[in-house]
Parts: sequence; structure tokens; C-alpha cells
Amino acid sequence: MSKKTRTVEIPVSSLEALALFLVASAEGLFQEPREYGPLRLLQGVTRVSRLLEGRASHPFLEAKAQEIDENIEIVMEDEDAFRRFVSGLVVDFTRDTIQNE
Amino acid sequence: MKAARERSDGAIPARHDRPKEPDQAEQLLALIKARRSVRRFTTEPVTERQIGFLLEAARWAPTTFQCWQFVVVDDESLLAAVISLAPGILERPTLVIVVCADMNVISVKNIYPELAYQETATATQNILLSAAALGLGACFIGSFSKAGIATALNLPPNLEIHNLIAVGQPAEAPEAPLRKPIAEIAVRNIL
Repeated sequence: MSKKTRTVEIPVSSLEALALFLVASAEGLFQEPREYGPLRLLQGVTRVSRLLEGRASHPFLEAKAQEIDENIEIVMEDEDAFRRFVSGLVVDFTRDTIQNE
Repeated sequence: MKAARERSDGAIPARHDRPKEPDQAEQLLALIKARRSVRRFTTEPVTERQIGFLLEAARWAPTTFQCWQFVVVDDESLLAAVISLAPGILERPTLVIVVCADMNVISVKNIYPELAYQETATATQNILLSAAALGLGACFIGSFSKAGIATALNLPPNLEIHNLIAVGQPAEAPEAPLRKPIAEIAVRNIL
């Protein structure tokens, strides 16, 4: 079965927790620094990866979530480096998505 | 010189009554410099004694009206809700201390509201330094939903949440960030 057609069972409570994180982030972003927008979205990616833990193996997503975790604090230190990091992620995710089609 | 005494309420006598210990200042500065914002934690528990120590340190922060209230959240489901509502928390801590100001005190005493922030800030600093002294990891969290957390914890409207402190056993040892030199941030007498 390809990655695209695999299904996983995720508890509703976990999805609710993710939704809660997203709406709380949306509320906070009205007053937080501009670059926190992309930061919160990347945190969302790591949360999606955690939802799959123990349910479905997805080495690419796990590796990227770890990379995000390890680099997430650049947002506080170097906005240009953070932008480059995000752009690199887009390229990597695009390649992975295309390969899986 | 009088020996240090502890009053029945646990208070330590004022400095002029205590023996001078020059090393204390150096030790305090070393602790201040060694403290880090720790955002990643192990699953090892925080003991009741450690929690009590943090709250005791908070209680003895500089204050005029003690208009603070601390909510220690370690219940599994409530902690999960608080974490979801606080995007500033990157990884699950063992507990979160919700630092609130009791705005009833502010209105009854007719105090300027900024004082509440000053009081909760001094208490927060005491908690963070004490956590470092205990070998715990802790991080001041500014990104969270006040309305969401107040709802989750059923806080009364007079309690205004000022910040959160994530606490746990540290799973990282962050490097010291750069600090501006004193000459850049301080002047003597006039700018």
C-alpha cells in the first residue's frame, strides 16, 4: 500500500488538541511578532508528526519534525536563516510528495 | 554580630541582622548567569518538595500587596489542555505554573494596575531562579490564550493570567545567549 492510500486511526481527543493549538495560535498571532506565524505553522507540522507516532511509520515526516524541533529557535535569533530554513523545508516536502505520487 | 535567626513565620531577618557572607553574592550571580530557558523536558517527575520550594520562593518575592495567585497544573488532562492553549510551550513539561494577579486586590486598594505585573514578575523570577538552583528546567511562557486557559482551569474573572512557567526535569542544556554589555544598557545619573 502506498503512503497516500494508507489510513491511520487517530483519537478524536488528539485531533481536538491539535485544533485547540491552532485556534490558540490564531488568537495569539494578532499580537505576536510577524515571524511567529510561520513558527506556529511549523509547530503544527511537528504536532501532526506526533499524531502518527506509534500508528504509522513515516520516516520523512519524523525526520522533518525532528529537524524543525532542532531549528525552531532560529526564529528568535536570525530571521534570514529562519526564512532559508522554511524555504528548504518546502523544497524537501515537495520532493517527498512528488516521489510518493 | 547577631546570628541569623528564623522567625516563627519562616521569615529571615533583614540583612543588617545577618552575618555578612561575601560568597553569597558571587553564588547568586553565578546562579543568575547559569539559569537558562529550558524548553525540553524528560518524563522524570518533579517532587512535591521541589514544587513546594518553588512556591515558597514565589511567596518571598518583593511585593507590596501580594496580589498574586499561582495555579500549579499537573493533572494529565488539564495539562494537555494548557499545553494546547500555549503555543509557546514546545514540549510537554511535567507541570505548568499559571501565574495570575488578583485584580480584586488592585481595585479594592485602588492601586495602579501595572503594580500587579511588577509583583507577578518578581515572583516569576524567583520561581525561575529557584528552579535553576534545584536543577530543574523551567521556561517563562508568554504565548498562550488567556481566555482559553481561564476557561480550562475555571478561573474566576478577578484572576488575570500574566504568564505561565513550564517546569520539568531538563532534557537540554542550552548555551548562554549573548547579552548586551553594561555600557550599552546602563548609564550613571543622566543619559
